[in-house]
Amino acid sequence: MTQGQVQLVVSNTETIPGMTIVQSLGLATGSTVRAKHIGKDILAGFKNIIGGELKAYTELLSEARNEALNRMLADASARGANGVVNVRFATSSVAGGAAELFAYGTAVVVQ
Amino acid sequence: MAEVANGGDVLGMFLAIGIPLLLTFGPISFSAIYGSFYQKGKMNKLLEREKGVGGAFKDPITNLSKPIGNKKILNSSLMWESVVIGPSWWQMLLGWIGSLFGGRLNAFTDIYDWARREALQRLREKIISSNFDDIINLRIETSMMSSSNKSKDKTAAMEIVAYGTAVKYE
Repeated sequence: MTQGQVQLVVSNTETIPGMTIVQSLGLATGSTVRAKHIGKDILAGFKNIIGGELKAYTELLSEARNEALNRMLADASARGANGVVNVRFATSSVAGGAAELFAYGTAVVVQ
Repeated sequence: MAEVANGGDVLGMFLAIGIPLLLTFGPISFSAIYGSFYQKGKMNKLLEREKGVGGAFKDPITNLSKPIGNKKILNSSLMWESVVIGPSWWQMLLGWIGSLFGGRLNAFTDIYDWARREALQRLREKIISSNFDDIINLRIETSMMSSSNKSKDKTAAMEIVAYGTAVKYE
């Protein structure tokens, strides 16, 4: 994964496979809050009659999660890290129809 | 003349009962019948895809934090895939009735099982298309997307995200 000029290695394991961690730089976090789109909401409401995947929401949340992840990477590279380990995702629904997507991990220097 | 009026009456009666009935039970029966066909079709497609990639015995996905054996890892990357799923009106009705008595809710089991397997299958296809060998340290997160109870929005949606570290062996 790339963020700006710096190449960051991202992993959700405690170490990066095939590399050694030299230094830990603390927690890197990124979050975003997205609300449902009214037009997509109506389409999703129709889709809800027969059930199944709500593609509009899948796309919406994918976009939002990418943004949260990119913010986390920006945070990590601002600390001078070249890797993020033990990345976790969390989602919570805020007020009606809005969701907060949150990504966090430990910023590290790897060799 | 009397017969024509009689015929009109019968038709009128038929419409007077038929249209409200259709409006009341039409959508829910459409949901039950077409929804079950649609969901079965999706499940069959998923089963086909699972035979092609992964499957029970050559599954590239594990939730171990290290790959089994002493394979050397060339590079790795975080990968994730998600599915947002909504049960049909019919399933929600069945679920509501079931929740009065408690116990097993078969209506939801199938669709949530499908969604979770679909997310995993997408992850398998993604690592293969981006030239990785395996996924390690898989995590599955589930979150509800439905709005608060007070709102009029009846859309019920659940998001399933599967993520892990994709690795490439030497």
